[in-house]
Formats: sequence, structure tokens, C-alpha cells
Amino acid sequence: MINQLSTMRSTPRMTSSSTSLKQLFMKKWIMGMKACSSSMKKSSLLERKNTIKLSADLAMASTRMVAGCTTYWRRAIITNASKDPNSKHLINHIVGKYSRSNNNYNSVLMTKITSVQLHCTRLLRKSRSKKRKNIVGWRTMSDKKIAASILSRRLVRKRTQVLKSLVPGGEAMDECSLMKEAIDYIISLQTQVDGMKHIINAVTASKS
Amino acid sequence: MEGIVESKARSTNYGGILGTQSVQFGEEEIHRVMGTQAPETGSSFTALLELPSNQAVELLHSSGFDASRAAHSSENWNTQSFPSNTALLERAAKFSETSIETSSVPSSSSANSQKVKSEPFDSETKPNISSDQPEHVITSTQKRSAKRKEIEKKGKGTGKKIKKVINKNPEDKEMLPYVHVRARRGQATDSHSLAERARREKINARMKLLQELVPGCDKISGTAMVLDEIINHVQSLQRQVEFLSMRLSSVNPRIDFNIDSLLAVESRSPAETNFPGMVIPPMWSEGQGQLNSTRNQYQQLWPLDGFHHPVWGRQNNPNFIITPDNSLMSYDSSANSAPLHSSQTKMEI
Repeated sequence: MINQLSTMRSTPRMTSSSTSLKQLFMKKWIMGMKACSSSMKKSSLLERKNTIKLSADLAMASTRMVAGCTTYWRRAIITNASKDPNSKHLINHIVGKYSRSNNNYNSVLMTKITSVQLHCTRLLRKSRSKKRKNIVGWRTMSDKKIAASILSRRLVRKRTQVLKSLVPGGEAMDECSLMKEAIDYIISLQTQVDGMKHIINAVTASKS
Repeated sequence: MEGIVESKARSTNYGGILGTQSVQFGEEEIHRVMGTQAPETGSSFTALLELPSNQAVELLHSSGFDASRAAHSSENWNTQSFPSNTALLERAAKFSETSIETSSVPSSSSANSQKVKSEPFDSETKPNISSDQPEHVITSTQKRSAKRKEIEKKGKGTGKKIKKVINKNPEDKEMLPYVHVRARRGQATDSHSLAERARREKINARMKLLQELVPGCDKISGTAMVLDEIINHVQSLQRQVEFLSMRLSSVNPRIDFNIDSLLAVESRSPAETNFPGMVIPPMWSEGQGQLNSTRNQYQQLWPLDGFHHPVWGRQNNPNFIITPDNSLMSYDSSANSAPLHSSQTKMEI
């Protein structure tokens, strides 16, 4: 899938899997927006934009590429959305009741797991940072190299923090799974953007 | 996944007998050690390890069991040792690339990697996370204690090279409680550093995937810069989503969605979105001005397409190879003139 997407960008070539994914997403998004079209007539621009964005995010979160993959950011989006009472209507329509119940159960588990994981990762990080000096072999390296390595580590650390804040649900993940989530998230963001472009073009054309 | 490839790659190093070496591998060491001492001191060997004998036998049997299973599959390990999941196949292909650089194995492994790549993959290359999750769940202490036992066993046997096997058995859906990690020559064999190295290799492999995904990251060297690019990409995508939703909400307050017509229109729209000029301009003033401009572009385009809409169907889409060069070959000439017109109008604007 990643290779297909990269080739799609370099030489635009639509592959069957990516188009089917996009069509799934578009259907769900349209269904969601239809469901709250009645409320959208009255509300302001910002509220409409928020509902549109929310329905797009939920539609993206609920379309899975490979049936077996379990990524956390989707559930994070859905649980964050379900905390808001206004959006339950949307969630019912887009996500579907069966998966919603699954996600509730999983979200409860996930919050428990993530708090424990956070604690554990923090402990590990502290112990690892204390051990670092011995393992790296600081006796053999010159001072400049040590300083450079420390600096680079700090930079990478900062950037992973930023990435964690960007990816939904990324706070409670270690580096490894964060990378996985980032890959999946980027792919689905790309399909989301493409699908939204299609629909917007269609709507604007049909209006004219 | 990476472990399997590495272990198989290294098993070819052992005198050419593919699998059987790894079968006898654990037992050879033990036999060698026990041969130096008198055979009746075999019990003392396990006492040396400070293990109860039954545990040592169990460990031996489990490692031997895996190795024997690996041996049976050694004949056609290209196909059988890899799981049927195509996502894992592709990931293994990528990892075999990385592991080939590090190991000094000749063309056999490269041939295998090519064979792996030639397997058709149309599913996502995302790794099978369900297989990785139990790894996190399993406690690290269990891992380390098992690894220490392995180190001690093998350490008694060979003085120079201390080796262990990365062997994640692909047939088990639930992962083994411990991971055998192989130490390369001249590197530390501490269990901590082994685990760290495995973890680092995992992270590096995923960074490579991310580099392929994000455009323009191939030439950048250095983790921090690559992460910079990734963050920029994610932020730009998120901003695009916001912008598009704002645009849609500003189009009309009353949106009546006719699904059939929209989906029919979408069947045509893949042709348009792939043109080079088709990028939504960032952060123009939202509202009617911009919408009018885009509407003008498509007004010129779609009356021409309307003739060809019955010809094109949704099922034609997967076969489209839409490049500016190829468009002349794939469609009729009048359909091609439409894309050219649209690109020209976009250039003017």
C-alpha cells in the first residue's frame, strides 16, 4: 500500500485498493453529513465546519484497510469524539453500533493500559538515561562526539514529542508503535484529503 | 519477521547444510561441553548452570523444537516460513533489504528477497501488529532471564563467537515468551544491549518506511531532519483537511446530498485530480471568489466530459494509468483534449 501510494504521487496512478478505500470513506462521510443535514441548516459557519470535519475524521477512523490491523489512533479519535455529547448522533451513524460498543470496551481498556504504559515508559526512560553514559562507551569517544550525540538525541526527542502531540492518541505510545501509528495515520490522512477534494469538486460543480 | 530472515541468512553460513545445522546447534554445544568433561558429570553441567535439570531440558527441547520445525521447513523456507499474510511478506522484504546490508551473506539471501518481493501484494504493507503486541505485553524480565540462560549455555560452549538465534516462529499466532536475539561478531552480547539493538533496528526500519511515504525524505540523512519533514507533512495534511471542511461549509448552508449523482461524478474526477496544476491554493480568502474560480475551471471541463460519461464506468477506474504522457494513448482524442484544456486554463489563472 505504501509503495502504491508513493507511485501514485510520483506518477499519478490510481490503484484499486486505494480507490476502494477512498470510496468507502466518501460514502461514510456523505452518510454522516446527511444525517445531520437538518441541524446544519440553522447553525453558523464554524459549527458547520466543525461537524463536517468531525464526520470526516470519524469516517476516516472507521474505514480500515486491513481487517486485522489494530491501530490506536482510530480508537483515540472515536473516544475523544464520544466524550462530547453533541456528537453521539454522528458517531451512531458513521461508526455503527456494533463497532461502537467494541470501541467503548476497548477504550476503557486502552485508557487503563495507556496510563500504566505511560508510567512504565517513564520509569524505563529514567533508568535508561542513567545507564546511557556507561553503555555508550564514553571513555573511547572524544568530548565533541559526546556533545554532538547528546545534542542530536535531544533534537530527536523534541521532535518525537511534537509527533506524539500530532498523532491522535500518541501520548501514551512508545517510539516503536508511534512510528507504526504515524505511517497508518499519514496514509489515511492522504486518502481523506483526496476524498474530500473529490466531493467538494462534485458539489461545487453541481451547484453551478 | 526480520528475525526469521536473519536467522535463515545466517544458517547458510554454517557449512552449507541449511537447516540441520540449526537443529543440532544447541545440542552440539552442550555435547561439546559435556564431552570435555566426563559424561558422568553431565548432571554437574546443569548444576553449573544453576538450573534444575528439568528446566534446562525443557529449554533445550523448546529451542530444539523450534529449530527442528525450522529444519523441516528448510527445504522450501522461502515460501513456508513466511506467513501467508502479504503484509508481513512485504515487510519482510523490506527488512531483508536492511538485514542484507548488515550481514555478509552472498546472493542466496538477495535471491530470496527478490522472490519475496515478487509475491503479489495488494494489501497494505502495514505490519501485523497483532503479532507484535504480545511482545510488549510479555514482561521484559522473562525475556532477560531466558536470554541469560541461553547466553550461559552457549557461552560455556564456544569461546570466540557467541551466537544465539532470532527465531520468531511464524506458525504460532501467539508469540514465544522470549525472543532469541543473535549477536553479531565483535559486538556486545549483553542481554540489555541485544534488546536495545533489536529495538533500534525496528525503529530504523519503520523510519525507512516513513521516509518512503513522505515525499522528499529520501535524500535527507539524519533522524531529526526526517522527523522534521514527517511532522511538516502531517501538519500540512491536517491543515488541508480543515481548509477543505471550511470550504465545504461555506459553499452552501443547505447541502442536499444526492449520493448517486455524487458518486457518478467521482468516477470522472480521478482524471482531473491527477493533473499537475490541481493543488488547492493555500489559505486564499475563503468564500465565493475562490469558489467561482474553481467553478469556472470545471465548467469548461465537464461539458466535454458529459459526452463520455456513459462510456466511462466505475469499473474502468482501476485500469486508468493517468499521466500527462499516457493520456493520449489511453483515451479518445476528444477526451484528451479536455484534460489539456483544463491544464491550460489553470496555467492562465
